[in-house]
Amino acid sequence: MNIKIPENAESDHWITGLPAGLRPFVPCRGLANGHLQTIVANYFPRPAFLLESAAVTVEVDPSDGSRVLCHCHWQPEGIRPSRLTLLLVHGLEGSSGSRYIRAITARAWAAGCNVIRMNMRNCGGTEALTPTLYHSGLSGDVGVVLRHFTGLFGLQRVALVGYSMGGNLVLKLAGEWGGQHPLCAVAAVCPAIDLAPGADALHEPANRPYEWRFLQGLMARLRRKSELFPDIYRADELKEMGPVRSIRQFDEKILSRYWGFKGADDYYHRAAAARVVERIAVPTLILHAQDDPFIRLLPETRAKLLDNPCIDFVETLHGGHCAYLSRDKKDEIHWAEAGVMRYLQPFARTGNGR
Amino acid sequence: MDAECDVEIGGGAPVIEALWPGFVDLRRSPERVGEIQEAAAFAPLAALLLTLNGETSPLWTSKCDRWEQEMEELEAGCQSGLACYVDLLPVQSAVFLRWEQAEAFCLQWVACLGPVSAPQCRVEFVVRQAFAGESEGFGITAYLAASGSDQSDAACALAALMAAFADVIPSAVPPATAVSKLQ
Repeated sequence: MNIKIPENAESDHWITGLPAGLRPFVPCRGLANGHLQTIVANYFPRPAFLLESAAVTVEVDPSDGSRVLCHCHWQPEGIRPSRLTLLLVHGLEGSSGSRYIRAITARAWAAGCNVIRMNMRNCGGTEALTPTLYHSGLSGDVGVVLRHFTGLFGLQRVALVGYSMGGNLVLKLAGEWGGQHPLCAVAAVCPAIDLAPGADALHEPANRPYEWRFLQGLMARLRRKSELFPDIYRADELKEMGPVRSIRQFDEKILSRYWGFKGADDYYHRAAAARVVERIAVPTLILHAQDDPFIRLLPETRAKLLDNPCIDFVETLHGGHCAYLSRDKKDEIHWAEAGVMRYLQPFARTGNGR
Repeated sequence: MDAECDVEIGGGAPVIEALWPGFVDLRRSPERVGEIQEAAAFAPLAALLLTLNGETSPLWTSKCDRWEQEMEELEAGCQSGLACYVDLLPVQSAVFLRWEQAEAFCLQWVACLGPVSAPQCRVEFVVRQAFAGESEGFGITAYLAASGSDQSDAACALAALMAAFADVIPSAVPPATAVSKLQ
């Protein structure tokens, strides 16, 4: 893809080319600051989410019985297989009920798609459904869910949509699967593709509030796991590990220990989608904001994204982390959601979208 | 955490003028938080203000500020400190109708903050007289302060304090009548 350099700040707030259908991103007035975008997006009023869903658990690992909870929105049986199905994956400490997941669900449903809102292991109050913790490398879980529902309903086209950590998961799966049926497209919003620099960025002083929030959630979840599975997460062992003051420390002391990684860096290397993005073989939209407070893209990863003709890599100057509150009106104010749906629209109409 | 509540009314004590010329209604327009210079310069304050004005909060905010503390105000062994204040009012009635009601609300908050681990941080609530347009009653000024080995350390501590503070906002303001019966 050709890189376009903005000629003036008012009309060009994007620095890569835009795929057909996507509008240039101009940040909401007063929010040309990555932190403010990120924070305000969490509080920005949203319409009530009124769609009914079917809650289904899917076994993702028969060896230990791990299951994940999915909330599904199915079109009527007669048209269900032929409609595009969106499989949505949330970010770290999010869930199928996260605001951005609900919002894109409403848009996809209105566009006539089936929607599966998948919780990662333990998320959405499902700690009892798995003895394990969850992490950024579990792209296999997404694949199992995709296969499960494809087998159940004969789904003809499935698109993956992931946010942040979920973005890494869907890109990793897309790289692992290549052009495997029925995967037809992927969209990743602010994906955490390079895990090590992202974890280290979270520990920068300006990002401590985000890290603090994530750690609060992760440690609270670990305490619940210890109550539910005391033989695995032994209280005395957890106490011996001492305080956890950063995401990297959590990954080093906790995640690596219980998942068998050699350490945080081994985990970051093995779980990163950056290792496989060159193998992505279906149309893929990746949105990344340069002022994202804690997502970092290594130059070599950026080069891989730009080199893969299947990937539409859109890098904006502004947008924060999974925020993208634009100056446009009504639904268009949520630029990333509107853009993802525009990108996927051709796949809803035809088989290949191109 | 070190948290306490005080009442300062009359005798020349400061008064909260809630609808001051620079007032930004964050309950109605959260996206305007960037217009508040102090919040734009320190994102954790923006997050705090938006939480305080959020759908589940019983409060709205008026004025805020952030500043560097003087050496004599710092916790022992610290070289730098940051502090901020936020004026708080109840959504239900624009102002607290009785100072005892505001105090009772603060004491609930103090009790929730007690078990929070936040070394080198402190919170002080001060109940003050308040005006919001035609409404006259009482409001709360919440002072949050954090010290550290240097300015960056203090900023991290203040950010963590703000997040912890916002996590334990009492869910409801006690009714003025119930408070008066308790006195």
